[in-house]
Amino acid sequence: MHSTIKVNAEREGPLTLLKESSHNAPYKVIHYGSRHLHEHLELIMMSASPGIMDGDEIDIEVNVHENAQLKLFTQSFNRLHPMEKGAVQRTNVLVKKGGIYKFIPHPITPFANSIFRTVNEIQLDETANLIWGDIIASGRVHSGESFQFSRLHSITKVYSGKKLVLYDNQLLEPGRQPFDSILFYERYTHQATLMYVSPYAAELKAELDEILTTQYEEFTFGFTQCAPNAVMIRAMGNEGVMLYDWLSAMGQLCWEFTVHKQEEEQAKLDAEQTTEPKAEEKTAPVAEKQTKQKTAKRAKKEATAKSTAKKAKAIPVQPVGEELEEELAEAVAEK
Amino acid sequence: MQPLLTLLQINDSMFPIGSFTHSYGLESYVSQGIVHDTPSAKVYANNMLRHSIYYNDAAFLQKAWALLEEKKSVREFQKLDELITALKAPAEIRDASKKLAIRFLKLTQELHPIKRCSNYLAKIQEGKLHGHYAVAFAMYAHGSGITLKDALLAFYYNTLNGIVTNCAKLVPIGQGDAQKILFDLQATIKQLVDEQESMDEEMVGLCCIGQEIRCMQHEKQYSRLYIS
Repeated sequence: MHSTIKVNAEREGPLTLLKESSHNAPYKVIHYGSRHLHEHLELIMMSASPGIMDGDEIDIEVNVHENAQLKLFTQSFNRLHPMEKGAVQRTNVLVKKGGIYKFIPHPITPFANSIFRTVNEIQLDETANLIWGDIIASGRVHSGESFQFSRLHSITKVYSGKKLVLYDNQLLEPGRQPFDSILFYERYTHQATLMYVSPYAAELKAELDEILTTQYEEFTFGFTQCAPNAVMIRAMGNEGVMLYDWLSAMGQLCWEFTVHKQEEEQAKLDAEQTTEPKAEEKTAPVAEKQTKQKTAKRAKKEATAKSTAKKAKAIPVQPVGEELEEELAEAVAEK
Repeated sequence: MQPLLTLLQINDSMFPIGSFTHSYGLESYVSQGIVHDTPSAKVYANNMLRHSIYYNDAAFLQKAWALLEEKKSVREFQKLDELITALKAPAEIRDASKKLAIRFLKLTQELHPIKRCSNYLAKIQEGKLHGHYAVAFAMYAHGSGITLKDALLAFYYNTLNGIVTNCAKLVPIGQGDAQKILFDLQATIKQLVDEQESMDEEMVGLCCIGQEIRCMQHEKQYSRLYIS
């Protein structure tokens, strides 16, 4: 069965709205809770089918337009049923200038003999922000079905300003790899990855260096600056729900951080525009009051945030507002 | 220039490019007690060759070689360089590849300059390319009249030599046991080299999840001897 899901998130004033979205059976994309609850957009992807069946083809397209903010949720674990031919999912994401897109789906659970190929192509503007997660279980672990699937290939390519910045190539083929061995899952049954691609990534990494100082008993994790503008967290554990909750909390932290940073920059821009530029200020000369000028300036500002972020890495304590510090602490405590 | 002698020299573990300062995650495995004796060191070495090196550095070497054979444009090398950079997620592993590439290129240029290598080094130093050791090695070996098969055999051998030497120092395992692992995996290396060229495009850069996590954890390891 061939299904398509299309989502367009557009910014109108302070709000992000859902425009020109479409989906067909068994999928449905609806507002997650009341649409009036947030200024950003929250959607949930639902399915009337018990999972992905043999021969299924799913095409997902998500467009996050300029400065739009979208969180896309899933309803439940993505179950891959026993197959002969296999199923394919293709996802294309586009995040434009200043946009934020967060997608951390529930774990993929591959049943015995399932064959699945998922390809994610993500195009980001250099000022766009991506919070992207994926969790793969070894199977229906509690039913004693672990690594009984045939093949699971997950390819994720992230481009920032047309340049390939991240390429995650995960092939899980129980006949090919020794999963219970060194280099692979060791004694674990689940793997999780979170990518944060953003002009603020280096600054977030410095925050994580302060926050994620000890390992947990239930799972093992590592994090790294995987590109100048990207941070990656990877984990292995035995509980899908626990990894999902933790990854969601970390994703929420990335979201709050991004929004806070953007607001900070916007406030600075607004202040610059209302006050006369002083001679000693090193900022570029303020041009005529044109509305278009604002967006151009913002883009420039965001581009330079990259170099600022690089420098910031050397500073041990980040100048972050108390409010955000509290939010970060809460997000971690929620775990 | 003698191809075999050149290969022996540039591939020597004592070739001073700093490869002995990297453990590529092994130090984490040892400190966490996962690699703790000769049998587990052998499993680690075997898995590294078959599941990490084969799909990554050796595959990058082979891809660079193919571009050299086909006399591809600079743009194609830039794409390969970007691909490798995007695949090497753990920062220490990415940096290791760059540092080794720079030192390898600088040193080999003093021995016998090869134009492509000097161009690659210049691009890395200008910040236009990231720089990766496997590509640098392929360029110099190709320019020195070495065959792809020999270059690959030597590359696997030296990678494995680095692994067993690190195991001997870190785990530790006996020098004799280390040499036994090196010898016993000859057939594996031969098989991987024979299959290298037929690798499907989508298999290049396959990730070993546990290995990546351990490499990331190394950044936070309290006491450490190695850079990666």
